[in-house]
Amino acid sequence: MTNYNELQECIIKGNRIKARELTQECLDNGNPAKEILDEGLIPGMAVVGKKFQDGEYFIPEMLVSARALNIGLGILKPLLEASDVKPVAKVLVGTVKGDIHDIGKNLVAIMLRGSGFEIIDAGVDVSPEKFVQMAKESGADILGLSALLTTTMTAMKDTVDAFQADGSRDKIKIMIGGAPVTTDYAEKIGADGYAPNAAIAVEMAKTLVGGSR
Amino acid sequence: MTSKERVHAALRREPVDRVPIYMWYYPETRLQLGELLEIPAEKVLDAMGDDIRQKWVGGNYAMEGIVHDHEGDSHIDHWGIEWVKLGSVNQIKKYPLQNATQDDRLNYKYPYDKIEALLQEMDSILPLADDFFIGCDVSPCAFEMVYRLCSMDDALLNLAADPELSSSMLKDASAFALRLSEIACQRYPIDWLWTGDDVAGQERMMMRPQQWREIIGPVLAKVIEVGRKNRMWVAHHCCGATRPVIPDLIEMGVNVLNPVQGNCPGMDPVELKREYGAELAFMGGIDTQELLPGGSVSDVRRETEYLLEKMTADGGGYILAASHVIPHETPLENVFAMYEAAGVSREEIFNRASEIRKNK
Repeated sequence: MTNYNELQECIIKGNRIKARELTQECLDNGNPAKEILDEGLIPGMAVVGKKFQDGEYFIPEMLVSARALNIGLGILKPLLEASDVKPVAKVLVGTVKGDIHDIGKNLVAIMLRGSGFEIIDAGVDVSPEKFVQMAKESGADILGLSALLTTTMTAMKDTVDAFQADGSRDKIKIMIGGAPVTTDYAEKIGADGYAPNAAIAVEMAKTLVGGSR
Repeated sequence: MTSKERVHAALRREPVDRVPIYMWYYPETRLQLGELLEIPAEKVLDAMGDDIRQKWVGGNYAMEGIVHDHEGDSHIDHWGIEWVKLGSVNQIKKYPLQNATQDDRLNYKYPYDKIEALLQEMDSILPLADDFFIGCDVSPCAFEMVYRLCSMDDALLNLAADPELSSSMLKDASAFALRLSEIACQRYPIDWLWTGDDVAGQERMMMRPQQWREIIGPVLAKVIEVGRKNRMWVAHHCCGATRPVIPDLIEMGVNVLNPVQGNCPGMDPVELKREYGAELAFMGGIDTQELLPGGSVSDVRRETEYLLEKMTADGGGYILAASHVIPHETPLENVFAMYEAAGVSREEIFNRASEIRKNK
């Protein structure tokens, strides 16, 4: 059995060159892509999330780890798809209409991707209608909305309302985050949850899909 | 007491007739106040009684100094950054160095040839220098300028992936702010040099505080030193949870910290005052994320009175301000409540507005 510690360590340290080498080496040795993902890449990123949560890592360290992770994922992706391995869930993420501050959304996407979720990134300044349309097209299980400004957080409510009006609200879980957002606000607008940071967003996403299945 | 005397006295912890005030408004908030007071929006600070007049001569001018009429209108600034009006202010649409090569980043030319044009912004407030406290804002001074050029993700990634490149870009960014500061301080009767560099988020700093100390702090210190050398007060703006580096900023010579977001970890204004108040004055603290847009008039009044009492406990060292620009959802009565708590009545404000109308 392969020891994945070294691959995990590449993700934790953000060594993208070695991450590429080791991922390929594992494949060449005949290890299944799903095993490399589940025992190498994801546990490595989980340590990164923990270090971020504990205040040992900051955003730059997380971004470097994500870069190494993405190299590994890029190699595995075609093989995972070919063997019909499904992601934990599909998450559509984006910043709401009027808001182009996307660092928070990007961090959440990184941590979710590193936990086995498939991310569909709607980008920035996304209208409620566009979210509804993209959710339908992608078959997303979860929608993650981000807003930095008090002036744009109201667009979160508009987005939740758009899913209601469309009749597709019960098909998707909605989680929200961003500087001005609170648990109270999430409840008030009828979202399913609020996550104060990227690490907690992963836990929340797992809970949300766990609850719906 | 003139506004100018009031701010200087407060910063020296000497007696004042009332606490100095300097509020920042979203353009819409300012328009709403102008409509209510029946005066042009640009006269709102005069009517409200704010004590400081300040201009952006650095990169912030492109964000807030250029006001577009229509949503989606855009412009490219002297740095090659494309800004688009989205909501209340201009936001970045295109970063000139995003995905650029290392050489392009290292050879990027700051707009030194535009310094005179940038400094001209000061002209409109210089005639007020006898009565008002004059500020010159040279921000963003270091890391914030780098991420405006190459995007925040990119700038943050490079801090860990290529610290040497980051360090070099930070030196270039601060060198430009330093040049602006030197000319402004030598040429104009400025009361404070306003520096700024956003490096913190809602929960913590964006980068390791130790890394800030190694590559951001030293270049920022040179800009701050210009104000100190010219015997001016130096104010510094950094949003968010900036607590870990407050002692460093004090050491560098920062006299006033803004905007003091009390809902970020470690940023309780009263606690900061207790710990650093002997060496550092504060401007800000009235919460713009929940209290001002969502609180009642009595909430705002109570919180402002509380802060005023605690933040001036040693006889001064506080300028009343919101913890950032006042968002447009803020009921105007909440704005008046802050001023009332500081001793500026609604009646006084309306009387001044009436004078402004007469003198038009």
